[in-house]
Amino acid sequence: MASVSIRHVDKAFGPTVVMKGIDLEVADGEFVVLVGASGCGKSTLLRMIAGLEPISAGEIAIGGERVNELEPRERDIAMVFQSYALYPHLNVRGNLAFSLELRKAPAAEVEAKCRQTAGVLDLAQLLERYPRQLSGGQRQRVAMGRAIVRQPRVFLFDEPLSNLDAKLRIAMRTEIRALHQRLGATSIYVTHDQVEAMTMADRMVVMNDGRIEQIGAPLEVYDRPSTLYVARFIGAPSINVFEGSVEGRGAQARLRTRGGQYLLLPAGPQVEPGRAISAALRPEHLAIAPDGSLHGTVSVVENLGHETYVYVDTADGRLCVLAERSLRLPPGAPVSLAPALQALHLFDAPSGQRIDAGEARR
Amino acid sequence: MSRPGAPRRGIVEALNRTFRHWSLLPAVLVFALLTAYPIVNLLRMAVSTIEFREGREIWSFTPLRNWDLLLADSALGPVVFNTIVFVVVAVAIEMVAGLALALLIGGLTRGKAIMRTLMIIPILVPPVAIGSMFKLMFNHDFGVFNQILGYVGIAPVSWLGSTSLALLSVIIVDVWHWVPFIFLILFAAVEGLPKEVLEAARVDGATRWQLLRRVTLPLLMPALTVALVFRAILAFKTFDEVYLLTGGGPGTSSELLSLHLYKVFFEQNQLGYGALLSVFTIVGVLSLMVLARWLTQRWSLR
Repeated sequence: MASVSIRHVDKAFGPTVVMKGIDLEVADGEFVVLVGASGCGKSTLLRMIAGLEPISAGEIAIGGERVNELEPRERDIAMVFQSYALYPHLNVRGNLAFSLELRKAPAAEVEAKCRQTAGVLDLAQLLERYPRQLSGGQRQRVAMGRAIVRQPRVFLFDEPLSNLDAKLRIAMRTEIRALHQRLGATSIYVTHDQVEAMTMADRMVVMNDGRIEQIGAPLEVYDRPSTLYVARFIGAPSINVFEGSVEGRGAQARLRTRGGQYLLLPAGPQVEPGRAISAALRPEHLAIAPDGSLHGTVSVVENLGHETYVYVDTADGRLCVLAERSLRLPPGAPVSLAPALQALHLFDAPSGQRIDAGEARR
Repeated sequence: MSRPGAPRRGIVEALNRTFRHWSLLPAVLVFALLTAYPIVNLLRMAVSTIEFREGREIWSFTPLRNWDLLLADSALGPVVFNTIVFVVVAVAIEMVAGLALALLIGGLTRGKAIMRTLMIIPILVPPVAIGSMFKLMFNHDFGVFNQILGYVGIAPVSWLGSTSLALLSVIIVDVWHWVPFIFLILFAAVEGLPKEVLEAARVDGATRWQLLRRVTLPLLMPALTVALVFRAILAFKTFDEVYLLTGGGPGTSSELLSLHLYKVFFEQNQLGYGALLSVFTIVGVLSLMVLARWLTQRWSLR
């Protein structure tokens, strides 16, 4: 087990700089998820940690030891690929044993470890099969097994569940988490799926366009997104955003939205009148109420069983509201919405940076 | 409406049922005409003596005579030996060189397309031009090979005129001519290697040599088999290079099976015996193909 430190790492492909000044500390035994839209650089960062991609500047250290110059094989890491990357010419046993045999481990030890790993991952019946004879879920488990059989210092996962169907994905999500709790190995996990990130991470790293937007525990990121990008990216259905400018001061401060509606703002020194800002509010912080300050008509009602989302068309676009399960509303019905002002997130309009209105607001 | 005639409906139904068989007929006819007939004819020749007299060919059924000629053919032993040496040595060098080039050029980050195009050139040159070109290069007095030897202080060598070097010279030309063929097949396979599998092996701890030995080569095995088999079959039938460079000489020191066949047919006018030899050549090639099929099946099962 080991910590992973990424210090001021840059990455350029030729003249194109794709990553600038990445800093990340992963503690020993921590499960960190890198999450972001495709092309944000999360996979590249993972491949740089693995040593499959050279870094242009900065330093990567594993267990306190600088690994910039080390080959992937010298870094004592294991990686699970999105395509699983099983060795097609070897059966399951051969796949599991491969890394041990490369290190010329004694045959008895190889056999024992393969059996043990196969037991953990329920692969004991499949040892003689070849990868093309396995289902997607089985291949995924072999890929996992190939990683854990080595007992490496760090596990790297590159979207390992993307090729599975939804049901299996959820099952494997839990299984990987359970495995981590059991092995306690430092893990870095890349995904584009924010639900996976929320459910699996000790800490998540939200990336956008080659930069780290925010690092934090899932709920911390959900509750206090540090940029508008993070606010929009994390949470499903996604957050409601109002753009506009501030009018009035102190207790009178309010946001006049682009659609001409008003939102009361919590008082704070940073919110000067005339300033262009974005205000964001999660669906659970909007309520359908007769005296609400926002007005619109019902567009779509989604009943998910345990919860109901109502989409309301307003002058500021379509808003999503988490509503009572018993609510019955026909499309086209006029409704008023009451925002929970203490839950309002404010962001500077051009930069998208969070405006903290002081602890008084919380 | 009256009932349609039962027999007529029977014919239509039978035709419908057998339609797919009938639709094979054109292919069967073409096959019979272009492949089966010549082979049958060759087999017939192989058991006959054919003479040209009074402006016509006279066939007589003499299977044992051709056998006797075969057993009495003192050149046949050396020719078969030469052919085996030629096929094994030339194809082995071509496989190793082709694989090395494919791996080398496959690993380039830029310039792959140019390298591939350059490599095709030897395949495009007509064999006659290759023969003439190398005949000049091998020339004892002014050939480029002897000039190079001269620079490093080695006396000129009779590349094509000495019994010990003639076959080697033919092999050199064949290697130059055919390495690109192996390269092209293997380069396509190298380009098609699953990138993540190779990366997984590197992360799993494979050194360069282990990667080549335990992942790359096994994954390339189908392409290697195809290249080897094609090349072995083609090498088995090599004619033009030997004919143009050495004419099989000196003596029979560089005479290969195809050239020997040519001599039996057109210089000795032994059509029957030539046909018998051809049949043996075909059997030889066929057994190579069967071996190849067995090998590929074995590999694809893995």
